[in-house]
This record gives sequence, C-alpha cells and structure tokens, in this order.
Amino acid sequence: MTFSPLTIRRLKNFRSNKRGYYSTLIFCVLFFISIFAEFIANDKPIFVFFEQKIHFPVFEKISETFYGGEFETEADYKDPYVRDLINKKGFFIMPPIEYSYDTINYDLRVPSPSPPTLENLLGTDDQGRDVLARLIYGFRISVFFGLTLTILSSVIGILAGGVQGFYGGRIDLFGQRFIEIWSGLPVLYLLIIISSFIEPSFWILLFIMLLFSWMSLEGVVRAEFLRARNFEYVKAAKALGVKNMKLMFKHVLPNAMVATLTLMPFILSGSIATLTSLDFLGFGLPPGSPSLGEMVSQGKANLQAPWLGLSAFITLSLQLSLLVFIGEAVRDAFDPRKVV
Amino acid sequence: MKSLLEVNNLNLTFEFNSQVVNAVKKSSFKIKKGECLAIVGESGSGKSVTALTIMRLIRSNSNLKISGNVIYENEDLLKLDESKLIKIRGKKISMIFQEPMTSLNPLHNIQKQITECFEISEKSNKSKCINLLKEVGIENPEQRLSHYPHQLSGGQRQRVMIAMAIANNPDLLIADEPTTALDVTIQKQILDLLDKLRKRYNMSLLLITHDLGIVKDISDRVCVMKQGEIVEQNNTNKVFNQPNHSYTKKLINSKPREKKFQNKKSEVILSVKNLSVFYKNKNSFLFKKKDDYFQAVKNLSFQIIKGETLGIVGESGSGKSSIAQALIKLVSSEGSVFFKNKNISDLNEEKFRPFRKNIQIIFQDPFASLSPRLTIQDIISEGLEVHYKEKSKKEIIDLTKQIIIDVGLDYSMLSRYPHEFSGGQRQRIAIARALILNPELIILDEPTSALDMTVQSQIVDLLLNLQEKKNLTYIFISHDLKIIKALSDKIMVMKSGNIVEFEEKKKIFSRPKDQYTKRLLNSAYF
Repeated sequence: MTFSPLTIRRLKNFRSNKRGYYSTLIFCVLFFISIFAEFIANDKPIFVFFEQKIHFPVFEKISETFYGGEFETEADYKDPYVRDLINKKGFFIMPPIEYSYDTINYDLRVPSPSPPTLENLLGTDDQGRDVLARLIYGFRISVFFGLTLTILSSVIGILAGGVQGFYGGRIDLFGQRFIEIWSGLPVLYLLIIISSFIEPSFWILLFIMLLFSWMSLEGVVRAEFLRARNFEYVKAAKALGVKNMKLMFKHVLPNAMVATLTLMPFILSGSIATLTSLDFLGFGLPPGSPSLGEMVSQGKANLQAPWLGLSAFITLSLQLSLLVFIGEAVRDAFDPRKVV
Repeated sequence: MKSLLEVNNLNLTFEFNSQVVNAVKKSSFKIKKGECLAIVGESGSGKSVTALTIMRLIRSNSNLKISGNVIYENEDLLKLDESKLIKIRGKKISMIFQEPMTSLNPLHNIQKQITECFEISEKSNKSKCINLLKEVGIENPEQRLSHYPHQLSGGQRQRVMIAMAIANNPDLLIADEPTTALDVTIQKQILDLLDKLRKRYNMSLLLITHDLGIVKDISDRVCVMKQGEIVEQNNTNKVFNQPNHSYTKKLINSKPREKKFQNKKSEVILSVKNLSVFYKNKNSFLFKKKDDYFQAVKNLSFQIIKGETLGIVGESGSGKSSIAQALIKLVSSEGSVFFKNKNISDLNEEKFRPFRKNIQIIFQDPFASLSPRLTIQDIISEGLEVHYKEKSKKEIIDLTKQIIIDVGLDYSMLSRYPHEFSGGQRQRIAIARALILNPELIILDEPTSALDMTVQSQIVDLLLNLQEKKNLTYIFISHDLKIIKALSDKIMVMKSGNIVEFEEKKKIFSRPKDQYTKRLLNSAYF
C-alpha cells in the first residue's frame, strides 16, 4: 500500500506525539475488546460442539429441549443440568467472564452488592449483576454514542458554518439569528420532558442531542471561512475558474480543519459526559441497559460498596483522557506548520 | 572621534527545527556620534537580529547563544541586567520598526502612546507632545492627539513612531526597515525627516534596510551583510563607487534587465471602456443609505495591444489592484471590458469561466497566494483540472513537469509544500500556476514587492523571457518605478482612481507632463 507524502507526513506528526500515540494504542485495544463484548462477557458459550455439529449460541437461540432437556425456553448454560447434557454428547467453551451485562448471579454468598471475588472480579451491583461485564458493555455504548454524535454534529456544523461563512451576507445574517434562538432552547429540560412520555432509546437520545450539539462547531468554522474566503490563494483559485463547491472543500475547509479538530476531542468527551450524566439522573438509556452513568448513581447510592463507584470512575476518566489525548495528536497531525 | 556604540565580534546562534542557525557571525562595527550607519542585506542576512540584540529585545530561549560584546558608555549592553537596560531603552537608544500598522497599539490614542515614553513628571505634558508631532511633520497636531492609529495613514503612523522614538532625545536611533511598508513618495519624506532629525539633535542613526538605493543619500557609512556576516564595511561613496566584495557588486548591479524586443503586430487584445469599481462603505441590512459608496476606480478607459506590457503605477489606494481584480471579476464593476472584441463584462461566472484560462493573475505576496496545504503539483495543476477535464492524470503530470522547468525550478520539487520554498521560488510557482493554462494576458499585481532586490531582477528576467517566448501580454502593477521601467512598453500613472498620465514609457520618463508624475519620478531611487 502506498500513501501520499501528505499522509506519511501526518502519520509521522501523529506518532511524534508520544502521549497521543500510546493513548491511541491503548484505546484501540480497549475498544477492540469491547466490540467483541459478547464473546468476552456472556452467559452463553462462545462455541458449542454438540452431536458432531458446531453451534454459536451468541448468534442463535437454542432451546433446552434441543440438548435433551425439559423446557422449550432458551437453554440456561449456567445451569449444571444443561452443562451435563451438553458434555454427554460434545463440549462447550465459555467466555472468560461468564456473565453478560444483565445476568444476575443468584449464587452470591453475601447480599448484593457483593465485593470482588474470583467469580466476579469487580464484584456485583445492587441487583447481583457482574460489574466488569457491565463496564465492558457500558464502555462500548458510550464510545459508540460519543463517536456517532461527534461525527454527525461535525458534519452538520461544518456544512452550516461553511455555507454561512463562505457566502456571507444575508445567508449569514439569517443563519446567525436562527442559531441565537436555537441555542436559547434548554436542552436538558427538553430531554426530561421527552423522556417523560417516550422511553428514550439510543437513537432518540442521539437525535435530540444532535439537534443542539452541531452549533458548537458552527461558530468556529464560520469564522474560519469568513477569514479564508479573502485569502489570496482562494482568490487565485477563483481566478483559475475553480467552482465554489470545490473552493470551499479544497481551499477553505483545510483552514477550518485545525480549529475543528481542536474542538472535536472536547465535543467527543462532552457528548460522552452528557450521556453519562443523563443516565446518572435517570433520563438516559432505558433501565437495565449497561451504562456508566447508571453505575455512578449506584455507587452513590451504595457508598458501602466502593467497587461500584471506583470502577465507574476509573473507566470514565480513563476513557475521556484517552480520547482527549488522541484528539490532540490528531490535531497536531493536521497542522501544516508543525515541524517534526 | 570617539565612537558611541561599539559592537565587537557579535556572534549569535539559535536552534530552529532542531537545526543550529548561526544568524550573526562575528560581526563588528562602530557608530560615531551623529553618524548614520546603514546595514544592508537581503532577508535572512541577520540585520534585524543584530538590531534586536543591541536593544536586547531578542526573545531568549534556552538555545539562544550570544557571544561578543556591545559597548555603550563603557558598559556591555549584553551583560546589563533588566533594571539598567530600562534606563537605556527608549531614552538613550530607541528603535523604529518596519510595520507602522502593527507597532502602534490600536486601542490607545496618539497622545497616550507618545506620553507613555515621557518621564513621569512630564506625563501630562501636552505641549511637549504637540511639539514632537510638529517636529515629525504631522499637520494639525492638536487634533491628532485624540486620534487613534487607524485614523492615520501609513506614513503618518510611521511619523508618530518616530515622534515616540525621539521623545527622550536618544543618542542612537535604530530604524529597522522604516520605509519598506510605505509608498515611494512617502518613503522619501520619512527618510528626509530622519536625516533632518539626526542633524538637528546630533544623534546617531542605525538604518537597517534591504534597499541599497535609499542608503546612498542618507548614510555616511554602509555595512553589507550576507548570511550573518558583514562582508563589506566602508564609506558610502566607496561602497558605491569601488565595491570590494563580489556580493556588494551583485547588490549594486542587481538592476533588472530592460525589455528590448517589441511586437510588430498591433492587434488590440483588451479594451476597457468606462470601468468603475465601487466599494460599499457600510453594509446595513434594513436601511440602505444612498451615495454611501467609495469609488475606487473612476471611469477608466484604456487599450492593450497583444505582446505589450502595460505598467500601472500609483501609490497604495490609487485603485491599481481594483482594476486588476475587476478585469477578472474578483470584484464587481461597472463599464465594459472587451477581450479580443468580445464583451466579457456582462457574462456571468458560468459563461466567464472559459475566459479565465486566457486571463490570469499573479498576486503580490507569494506567501499568501499559495495554499499551504497543497503540494506544488496540486497547486500548479489545479487550473488544468478545471479547464482541461479531458486530460489524463499522466498528461497533467507531464505538463506540470514541463512548466516547472520553464519557470526555472526542478521537478523534484513538485511533491513538496509551499513553506519549504523561498519567496522567489514561491513566486515562480505562482507564475507556473498561471502559465500552465496558456493564458494570453497575465495581470501581475505587484509580483516583486515582497521579494529581495536580487530576486526581483531574476523574476523580471523570467517574465521577460516568457513574454518573448510565448508572446504574452502583461498588465504589470507596481509602485516601484524601477521595475516598471524595466518591463513596460506603456505606462499608466494613477492617483485616487483616475488616470493621471497614460503614455509611452520613454515619454513618461523623459518628459513627464503631470505634476504628480514628476513628483513620483523625483522620489524614486534608481
């Protein structure tokens, strides 16, 4: 594979920011693990070999009767009876953590929340669910939420800011007034009101947040476009006959990139923090879903069980710091004046 | 006579991009009381760094190493502590900077800025302020006191800077390129003023400039600097009449070659009738004021013949650049423009696009006119992608290679970025970008003003060669009569949007009719 010299330069710049580079490596490992959360923390086996056939219970629902049991419901692989049935005619491999985010451990020796043991490495929460499993799933959801929200709001923000800044005049005037009104709407109240009559899912939350978060980039991009449209090289390109669209994307947008990329890590960490705080308040994702915010609120409710609050705190702070460090390194990589 | 300031073996190195730069190499010079010493050199020769070191204004970072000494009144300025330095800066030694636009604080009025350098007992001394302003030749000084920098012209700002510098009767005034940002006629006035003040107050003047021409009349002695080294130091007359060092000779002889060839055919390529450019003064959305326009170009008509060069001369604000931008529709204009007998002024952007490849423009500042984020290859080939969509990638690359050799660069440079090039090389790239479309008319908007003297003549050389080879027509805009003289066939002198004089080159230079043209010619240093 060959890269253009520009890409090579950017990669070099990126790598020269040591903190950002290692943050990326660590984050990639964590994210990769959490993507395959179902194979790492689950109450179903990764792999079942039964009657000379291979099954993946993670993807298919297999009833207990299939293994020769009594119930027609899905097999409970934690049940010693089911395990015996499978071991008679084959074998199965369980994931390293034998709990999913909603698996309740009924065999606890102490009342939940129970402290860390070999079985539940980070203990269980107040409903007897494994904390580590919930952290892995919660990490995945918040990263997905943050990334999607950041990408979508950047796209909208850059487009809106670009059009306003590049054309200026009346478009800019009306756009600015609209934003002034729009930014006056109280987002949190809106979310609370909406969540009182519909149960907010991942996508509904994302949509509502998106309606408002695009404005944080719009201002910077608009300013950069206003400035850059009078640059001599933009004029020179215009004199060459380059069309407006291409002018905007090829010549003006790169100027706005550094400003955009400077803000992006903060938007990313901001949106993760917002989701967490909504979950903490109970207006976020539906009950039962694995979320870091919910774990923080459990930690607050159960101060006698510090493993809850500490795990959530460490995960969140690690996640947010890593993302900000990566964002800084990306910004360095796109800075043309940065010298290696 | 005892010398006022002695610089002995000044050596300065600093680290930049993890490379050690030796900015000043073992330089020594002396300034006597009342004398004017000029330091001449191209950009990057270390002349400004020398001046900043004398004032101890150079930013100290850990990798900055200065050795040698600067003796003033038996003390080494390089070893003084900050509290003693304050007593010297602005009182004994003061400085004027190049850019009058940025060296005055935009938030304070003139009085406040001037009184800032007074002794505390004189802080509210208004009459001293007025006297200073009178001294530096500012009209109506009483009213000016309450004005802010943006209400003054460039020349006036530089005068205010000078007033601030001489407020405490300094022994030495360091002027770092004091006239580079100014028009020719004003340049002359400022230099005359500096000379007058020097004689009246018997102060010494250290004049730093890249322009050997202005040094001739004003300075007693000249130091020529090249890459941090003083290569020649002598009396002004001797330097000009018997230069020793080859570099000095090169500087003195770096006058651009003059255009010799001429075009036989007389086919009109561009004809302009009643061209006017208006700028809106205030943009109010609801209430439109009438007559709130500033007319930058006033009803101009002229013609250009194919293969000729039309030189447009004028001071800043005379509307030269507005004409250029109006011709290629970067600003809206009134009147009609005929390109090869086709009216192009009424066409919309879509219909005008095919004409863009015939009329190209090259801007003044090669640092601003190249996108810092594109490679040279992308910059040069951009026009091809607009106008010759049918060309394959390989053809485009071959063409860019061809054109970059035409402008005197090497095609291994194509994959690099603009910031890796010097000003002259960048201007060549800008020329290549315009040239690759095979234009018939090229508008050059002060293409050499941002460049060093020797580089200027190289660019003029290149432009002349290209004109001869490709039968190009140029509109050459400049405030520098020397360059205009070298390139043009006809010259148009402009003042506040009007044509003052429009004549053949020879007539303008031998028998200028208009008063303004005469003044312009007088203040130019050839």
